[in-house]
Amino acid sequence: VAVNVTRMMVGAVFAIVALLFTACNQQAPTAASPQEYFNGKTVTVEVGYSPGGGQDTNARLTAKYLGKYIPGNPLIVVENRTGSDGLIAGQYTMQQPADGLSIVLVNNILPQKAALGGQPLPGFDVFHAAVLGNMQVSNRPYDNYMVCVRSDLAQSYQQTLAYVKQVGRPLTAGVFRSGSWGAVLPTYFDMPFKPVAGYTGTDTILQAMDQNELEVLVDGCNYEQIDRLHPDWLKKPSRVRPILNIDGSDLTPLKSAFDEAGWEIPPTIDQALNLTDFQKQLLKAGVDSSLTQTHEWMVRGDTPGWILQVERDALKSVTEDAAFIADMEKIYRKAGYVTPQQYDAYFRGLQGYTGELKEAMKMFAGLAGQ
Amino acid sequence: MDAFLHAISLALGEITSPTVLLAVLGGTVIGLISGALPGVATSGLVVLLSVASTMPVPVAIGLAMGMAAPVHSSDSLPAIMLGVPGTVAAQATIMDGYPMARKGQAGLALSAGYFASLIGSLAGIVILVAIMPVARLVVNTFAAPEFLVMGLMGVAVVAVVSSGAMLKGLLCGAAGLGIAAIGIDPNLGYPRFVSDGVPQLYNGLDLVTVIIGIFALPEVMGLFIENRSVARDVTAEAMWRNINAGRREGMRAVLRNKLLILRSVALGVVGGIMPGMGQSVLDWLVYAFARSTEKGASQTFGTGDVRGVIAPESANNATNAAQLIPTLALGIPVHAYQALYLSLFIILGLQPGPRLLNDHLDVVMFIAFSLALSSVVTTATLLLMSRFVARIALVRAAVLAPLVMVFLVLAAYTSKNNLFDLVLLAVAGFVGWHMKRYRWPRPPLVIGFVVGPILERYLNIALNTYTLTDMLTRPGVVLIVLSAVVIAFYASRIAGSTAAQPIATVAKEPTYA
Repeated sequence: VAVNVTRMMVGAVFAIVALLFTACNQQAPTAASPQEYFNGKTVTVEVGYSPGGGQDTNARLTAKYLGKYIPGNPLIVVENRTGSDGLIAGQYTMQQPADGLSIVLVNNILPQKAALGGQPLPGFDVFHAAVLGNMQVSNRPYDNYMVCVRSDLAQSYQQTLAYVKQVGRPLTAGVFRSGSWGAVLPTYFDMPFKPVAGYTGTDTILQAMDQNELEVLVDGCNYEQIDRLHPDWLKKPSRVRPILNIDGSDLTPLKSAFDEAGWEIPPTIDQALNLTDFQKQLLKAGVDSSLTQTHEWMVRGDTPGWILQVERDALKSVTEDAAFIADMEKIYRKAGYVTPQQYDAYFRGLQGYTGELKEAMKMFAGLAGQ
Repeated sequence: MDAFLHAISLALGEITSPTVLLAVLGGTVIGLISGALPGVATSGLVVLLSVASTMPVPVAIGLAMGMAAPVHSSDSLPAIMLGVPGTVAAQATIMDGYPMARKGQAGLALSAGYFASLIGSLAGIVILVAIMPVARLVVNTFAAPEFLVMGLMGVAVVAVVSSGAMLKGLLCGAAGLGIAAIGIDPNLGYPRFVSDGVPQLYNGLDLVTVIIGIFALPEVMGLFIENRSVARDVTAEAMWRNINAGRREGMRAVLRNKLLILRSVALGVVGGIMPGMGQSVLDWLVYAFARSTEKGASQTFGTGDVRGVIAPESANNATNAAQLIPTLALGIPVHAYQALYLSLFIILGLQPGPRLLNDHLDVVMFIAFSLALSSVVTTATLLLMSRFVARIALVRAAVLAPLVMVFLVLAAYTSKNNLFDLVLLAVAGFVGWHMKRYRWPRPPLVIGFVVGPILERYLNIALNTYTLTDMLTRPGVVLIVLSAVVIAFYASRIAGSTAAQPIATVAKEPTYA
């Protein structure tokens, strides 16, 4: 038995040495043509979140079309490598060869954490990874940000303030992260709301509103979410009423829908409040941040340029595919290509924040405690 | 009513088409296999749903629902035969199922488990269809205070499963609550017990890996060390006789325990309807409930009592169907599986929520019929297979243990595709092994671990959104508290009458915990 074990161990050591030797001798991928390079290969898309969530659905929907637009039609496989807001998936991808066959789908939270925290993330330097782009753009005014109040409590922001004075306490607003507008508005805009964390998503926040557990809706008060999960609120008498327009989107295209719900077009924050310069700056920073969709596709920064170009072109083509556009519409998302340059500008903007604005944006990103 | 009948006739028309039938059966086969392999169910479902999303709607849903039904039936196979939970919902089944297999009663345990699963599943489907029209009202009955009270009942379960070693049990429960706190604080966003050097800890410890480490790894190590089969004291001939007789006896045992099934199914359905109650917590609640209310159970549960298999198996299958109520009616996924179904429905162009009920009631009926068909096929298949499967208990450890070890390692890894979880598995296995060796009860540790996040989340929400009076006067809270009081009273009476029995009538077998 001892001899067998020794033989097995020697065999295992040889196998490991051989594997290491092979790994060390890997060279930058070259090919006569992209067609030849990708033909018969598998491109793996790493998703840092659980199956079934927003990131996962985005990845799988895109993966369904991506293979068609990469020359050689490689197989596209989506893998969920969950943990730490996608950091684990990012670290894993950065450890793979720089051959474009391993892509990671990143949430804005990681670049925000790196930019606002002032130091690179361990094992995943988001600013030196190569961005391929993003297949989703903002769908304003349908996905704009508003503040809604329960209609049995008030009908406008002024009435909400009067109600708060009457009951002598702030109104409860559900948030699913420790940050976001639900936390920023009461802290930096003196709005009389108390953010209540612990909700797992917009769906549970809307349900809590339906149960009269919450009084104000900040995260989740937009037309698309309500239309999808509580279409009955879009008919009179509605359970909720928009009282503030946070991002300043033009809501007039929704006028007839608002009329049906018995809603007025709400004033923007700067119309309702006398904002200080700092508040104006913060409002703009928050709106800019929320306009940048959170599904950027990245590969290792040292991936050969021609592979980056092939994959960027393919992702752009996916966003122009009529079937993909239709599939995205089914889930209330708008297909559209966000370029690496646009992301670069966004990340650099984040790095430029200082002082109180930086602290406020950290809260917005849910990083106050980190 | 007309719309309801029309939807039923449309759904029946769909499900009787050969392609759809084939899809449901195909999904059932995949579900059977993936439920039986520890930790594979979710990744199996991911792969299947990726394929299904490119198919026509009835075929895709048939395939998905075909796979949904068997998972919580076939997950009892590794739980009973190896002491390894096939999914997190099969933890409590181990408590009595595995000791039964060790006594050579695998046939009885499997048959009772499968038949109880069928009844639980069908009951859950009937309730799913019945509740759908008033789903919003029913689901809205349960808010943060009710979840908090249910979480507190979960803590009380620690005491129930610790009787006989109360101090050790409470310490283990507290340790479970402690390790549940690792990661980012869900309320304030502060990291707890983590550092940037180990980012894997930011999302907390993986439930599947911890459960496998605490429960399964020590059993497999035990098999290695003893180098004997699972049914260690039973001859092959006796085992073979037991398997054949056990199959009929298992079904009879289920029929004899109608009230137990009814109570377990009711609890399973309530838990399924409550978005946010984990299936693990529910599994233990049902087990503790049965242990407290069944005659003599406080002495026999944990030593190989068939009722300890029937209760969790009927409940987790009822839960499986009931969890579709908030998913379909409100678009709120209760569990990872429901999140996957939600994603599939959305990609297929069906938006779960109020509109699904109004515009596609036939789809809801079709889902219910697919689940029912798959449940019947599942039980028939598993009962037929049980005579062969039960022989696993006779396989020598030298052959069985390495195979099981490979599956455990794969299960821990595929849960997040993360090498760190293999380290976690080793640590949890080490802890589990020493707990087993020095007779520290393992279930309280796991219960504390699964209840911790629920308590923390809903305590924060409840304290911030309700006054104490508001909380205590909510009908849901009153109902749950009253039920708990009645159960405690009933349990104390049962305990009193059991204590009066001669000690010789109480089974003396090695306990699982």
